[in-house]
Amino acid sequence: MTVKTTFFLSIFFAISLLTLPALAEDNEKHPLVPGLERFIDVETITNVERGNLLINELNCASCHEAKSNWSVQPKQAPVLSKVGERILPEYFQSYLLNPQHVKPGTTMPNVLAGKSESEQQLIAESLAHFLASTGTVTKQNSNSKSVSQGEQLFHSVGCVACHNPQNEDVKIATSVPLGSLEDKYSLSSLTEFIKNPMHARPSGRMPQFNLSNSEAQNIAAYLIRDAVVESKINFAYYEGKWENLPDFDQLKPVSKGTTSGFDVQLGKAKDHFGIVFTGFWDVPTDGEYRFKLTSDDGSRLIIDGNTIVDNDGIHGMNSVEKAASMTAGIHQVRVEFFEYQGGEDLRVVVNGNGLKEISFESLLRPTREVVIDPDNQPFVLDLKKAALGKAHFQSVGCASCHEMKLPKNDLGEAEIEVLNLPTPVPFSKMNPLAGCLSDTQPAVDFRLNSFQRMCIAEAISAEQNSETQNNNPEQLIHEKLVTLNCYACHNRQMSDRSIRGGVVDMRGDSLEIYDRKKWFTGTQVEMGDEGQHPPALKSIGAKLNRKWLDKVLLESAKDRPYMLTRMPKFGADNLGTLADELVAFDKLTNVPVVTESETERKIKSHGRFLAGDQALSCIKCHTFGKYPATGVQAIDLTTMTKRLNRDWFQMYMLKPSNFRRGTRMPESWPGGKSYYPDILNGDTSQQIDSIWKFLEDGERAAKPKGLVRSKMELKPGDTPKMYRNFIQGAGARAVGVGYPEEVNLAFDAELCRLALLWQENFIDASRHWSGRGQGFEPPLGENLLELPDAIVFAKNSQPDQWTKTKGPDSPHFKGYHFDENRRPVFDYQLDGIVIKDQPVPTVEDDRALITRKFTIVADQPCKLYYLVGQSEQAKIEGNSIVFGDRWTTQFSGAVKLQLSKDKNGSVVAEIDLPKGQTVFQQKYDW
Amino acid sequence: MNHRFISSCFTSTAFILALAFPIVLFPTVSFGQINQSEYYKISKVPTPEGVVLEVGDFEFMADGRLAVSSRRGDIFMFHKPLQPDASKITSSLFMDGLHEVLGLAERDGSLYATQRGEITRLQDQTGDGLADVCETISDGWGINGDYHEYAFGSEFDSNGDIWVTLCLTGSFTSQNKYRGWCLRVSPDGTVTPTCSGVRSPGGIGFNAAGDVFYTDNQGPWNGTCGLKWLRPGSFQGNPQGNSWYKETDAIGVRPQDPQSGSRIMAEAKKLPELEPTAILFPYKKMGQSAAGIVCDQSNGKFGPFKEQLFVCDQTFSWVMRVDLEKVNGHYQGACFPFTEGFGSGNLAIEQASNGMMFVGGTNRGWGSRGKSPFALERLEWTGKTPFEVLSMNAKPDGFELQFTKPVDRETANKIESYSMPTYTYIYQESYGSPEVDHVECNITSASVSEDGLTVRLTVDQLHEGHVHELHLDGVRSAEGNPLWHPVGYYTLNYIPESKVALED
Repeated sequence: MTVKTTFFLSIFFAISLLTLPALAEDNEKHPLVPGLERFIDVETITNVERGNLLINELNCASCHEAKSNWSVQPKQAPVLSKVGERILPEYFQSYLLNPQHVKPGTTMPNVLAGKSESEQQLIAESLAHFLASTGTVTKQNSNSKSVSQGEQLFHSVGCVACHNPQNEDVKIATSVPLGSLEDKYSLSSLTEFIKNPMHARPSGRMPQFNLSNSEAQNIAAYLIRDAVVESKINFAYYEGKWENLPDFDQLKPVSKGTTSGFDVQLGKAKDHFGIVFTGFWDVPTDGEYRFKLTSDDGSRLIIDGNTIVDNDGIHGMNSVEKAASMTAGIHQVRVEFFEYQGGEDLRVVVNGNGLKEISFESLLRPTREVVIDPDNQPFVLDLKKAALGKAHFQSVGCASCHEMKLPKNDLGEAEIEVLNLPTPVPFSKMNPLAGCLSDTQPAVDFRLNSFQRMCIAEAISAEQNSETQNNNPEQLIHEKLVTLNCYACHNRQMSDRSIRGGVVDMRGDSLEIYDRKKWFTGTQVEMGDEGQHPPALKSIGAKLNRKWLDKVLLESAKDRPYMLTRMPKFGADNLGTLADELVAFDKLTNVPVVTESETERKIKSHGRFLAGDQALSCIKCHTFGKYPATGVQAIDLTTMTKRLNRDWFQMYMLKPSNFRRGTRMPESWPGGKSYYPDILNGDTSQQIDSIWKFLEDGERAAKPKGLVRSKMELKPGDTPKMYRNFIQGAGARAVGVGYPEEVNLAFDAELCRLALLWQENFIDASRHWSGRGQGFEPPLGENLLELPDAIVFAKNSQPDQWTKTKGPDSPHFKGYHFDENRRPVFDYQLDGIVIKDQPVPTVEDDRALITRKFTIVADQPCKLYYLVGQSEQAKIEGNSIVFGDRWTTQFSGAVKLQLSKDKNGSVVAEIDLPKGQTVFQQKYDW
Repeated sequence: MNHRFISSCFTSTAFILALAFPIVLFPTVSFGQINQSEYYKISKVPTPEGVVLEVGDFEFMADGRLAVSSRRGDIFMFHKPLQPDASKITSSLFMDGLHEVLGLAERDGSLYATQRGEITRLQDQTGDGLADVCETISDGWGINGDYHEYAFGSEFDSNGDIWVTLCLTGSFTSQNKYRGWCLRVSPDGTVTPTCSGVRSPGGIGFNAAGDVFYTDNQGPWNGTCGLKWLRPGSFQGNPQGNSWYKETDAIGVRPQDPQSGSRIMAEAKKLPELEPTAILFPYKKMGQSAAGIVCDQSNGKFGPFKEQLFVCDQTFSWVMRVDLEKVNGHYQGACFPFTEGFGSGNLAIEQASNGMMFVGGTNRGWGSRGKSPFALERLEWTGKTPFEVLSMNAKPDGFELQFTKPVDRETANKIESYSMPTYTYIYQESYGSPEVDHVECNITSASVSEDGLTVRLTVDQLHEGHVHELHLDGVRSAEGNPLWHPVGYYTLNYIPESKVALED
């Protein structure tokens, strides 16, 4: 074929294509290759290149002899050895009959397309039995807690980088389809698949995230949350507050029913409840079984009335494992559980006698006898059909793409009519408008859309014309990034300065890709996109040192603890020579040569100074080993030299935005100029290198200045020291007063109450005076007395309950003035009553105490109620109240005052205020 | 710090670096060739021994003392602050133990301090120099102990009110009453909610007309830092605090929430309450953390920039210059780099009647180029006028530039002497935004006025809602000198309509 033909091809497809928007309608039905969709509108990518990507991802070369025009191994079809252990038997037949209908977007072709309907049914059914004969898999339900944790994981760890989000009706063109997973997988088989996807799909298009067992299980549980699973066990749900398992038979359940598993969140209460699960277990063979009961709080396993495992009491997730000999036959199982408060969970796992870590509920049924649901007939394996399927597996071409080690059990050979599998034509002799690319009767029906057929045809035509492939090093890197879908998370700037891929599509107008942004999240929201979006790959081969680059690619990475999206691993075979290519291509130019002018020890000392809070303050935003930063918690400084190349560090520090667009990392040497002329002769590159050298010591490095907060104790001088700030126990508007007599108080200006009294040291201001000053600081000294945390004054009537809820009649803080000793006199008012509250320290027997002098002015006679303290042990003795052996207080002065104590232990002073001024004292001794 | 030394040191370093890696230097605007101290002098003001004076705000007392508040809650009085030798200025304690004072205002001899939780009137009744009455005037907003809940207070406006801008609780929520609002507080303590939509203010001040502006920092709904006009009744763009409309009918009903991922001018067309940011400070070009604001009211004693605004940036330790104009009833305009090299992260700024400015800073919690943990400095004009773009005004077909000195006609007439990339930011609920929607604005003509002080630029197309980043690298003064700062950033929210079109 000649160049002219290529031109003809384009015209041909252009006519059949009409316009690009027509693609949208086709979207549901064509095989989805994310790399094709992502750059469908990028003009610098040719259709030949697109075609080569498709040929690779559809694995055309598994049938057709072809030259490889792509630098990544073709996408291999799933491995089908023991597929019966992975996929539910009911799934196979319908999928084989119409893959694109059951899983829109799949790259699996319909291999039965050309056959009669009855033939299709027969072959699909036999193949289903054959595939199902390779193992067994049982449907299990997932519990609701697992589902909700899985939902959160699915939408944060990076699944949504490639797949559609599941909790919103959003369909993104580049999304790799999931199909109806609940019809395809069981909980445990999907968990296994997610944990190690490359076991079944070796090509790494679905990469392996380093998920823990429970994370994988939670994601699986979420993805099959709609699975209809038969009821396995009965439950009875009780509410009550117990510290050990109660005798449930003596209690009345709040609700009863059947459920599919040990779901401890099936009731309404969050805390203080219990559940009894009952069911029957048909033990297949005699033998010893080990039962592991893991629960928070207590649980117990009872079989046939005998306690097998006892895990009672209040505790966190605690496991107890016990063995028991069981005889074959039906046994009655009972699991009791209770929750005191906090978190709750229950898992029962069986091992032994051929069972391995099996969720016990999967073995149970709610009734002694098996009840058969006529609408939901289970799949029953027919070995004859399986034998026929085994033959068809070869004849219809499954074996061309799918690796499969035949199961041990010999199904025998079925006699089948020999089907005429056409011999695949090599690309060099192919008519690009026929065969699989025919738009009317494709040989194997991939359901390609016209654009895809055009691209493949152009690629074949190019190969036939021996048109040289664009094998420049940048293209080789791009082929890997597009095939493994690295672009879903990372962008990379090309040498023509265009940017490919990334969470936010830098082309700016590709709204569909942009749509995924909200599923890239982090724990440090103030870091902005940098804390949420995986890093750009510009100069990545120069950025990471070779050891770390290999580690990131081969073992995955978790260097950014604030970023919820994780870097997965893709498998060494799939990555090929990517690391070599990145290192060869990403060269930095004009890296300054650093000439050392001082000794290593001095250079490190300068680096330490520069990183500290008196210079560049790197530690304000970056963590340093175990030490948090004072602002955002950006990537750990002690990992820098482990990860990075020294040259890149030099160039990055000079101008961070050259490497990270929009970074918040400041340009500390603006225009290359140093702010520190005295350090290393003001030489910028030496200064940058000194930080590198300092950081090379990693966690063993001396701590940068300002890293560890030192105490800033405030001490009163001759007059009291004031400290208005967030004081623990005295609120956000606390007024701390430290008296020279070594007694201190904190007044809560919001509630107008004396909140705290203590002795000795006043307060440490370092929490609020270093960094941003987050949080509440407790008093520093000793003998802390906490007074009622409520509004303690009320006019005319005593409230039923003393609360913190302010109303129009609540006292209002009016400030303070200083007396002749510069002690504050607090001023607050409520509805015509003005209270001047003057705390005065007094020293008795070497102890400093506080006496409050109240001067109250009322505009008319009224009663004032004052909550003095709260304690069940409080005793009123005349004008004194003794609060156990903790503290006493005593009123004195010309005041009509009546003390009373209510059933809650609230001691209230009822004060008769005449019009005008009333003066009295209250002394605290504690 | 010896600034002259740094500058000269920089010049030689720049030369070496320029040889070593030109790529790093050329895209940045380099101000190193011109010595700042020729035009403006920064002098250190001595602070009291042993005191960490992380300056929160300034206020001149009627008797000429300069009150300086700090984040640690102190207020010091600086005596004779305008004396020629700044190093001779002395200070004494006025009050301590307050809660992070970020606003000072003086009236009738009393000093009003905006603390985190309240506005407090401080009086020295005994005349011993120490305040002895500390009276709560208003606490009409909530705080809960989150460090982010700052309160910035203005000086008194012409009605005698203090304007308070209230930071959100953290970056994303408003957990306490009126967090994310601007309130006006009258002398009797009456609180009038005035604007919603505030995120994270860094300073508040007035322009010459008495309108109130504040700076708001990059974060949710702020693609970059900006200067915003507190038009009473307006919504400033961040809807997190809009639940508090339920507490007041002072500014009407709660507006519809803007659409995340949009552009601010697209939303402003839908939401009449939304006041678009008057000046966007492009991130990392014009600072990273906009803070205090002051208007040059000295009538020429601070140089040629009469009635323009001067805005601090905490991260860059510099002061920027802002020239505002009103188009379609909204403020917008241009910002320019001004003076750099301050000792710490500039937070507060104040001007004395003789034109001198006082700049104070802190870099606690947020880093700054200036390396000192705190600084108090005085900025004076030397009397020598720098060659600068004095003002940049939008026209229907381009911009009109005024210069501080006559331009060289030949270079200023050439369109090659100018370039003008434009871009904007995503208006979104997540943190910040990169520059987006880049379009080059092509300059089609440049004509110089007879007196050489005005250049009229016409362009192929103006871009609504974009920052128009004007570079004037080729322009020279009549004396043959380049501009001190050959760059300006005009936030073109509204394109003025042509008068001819109006007559039609």
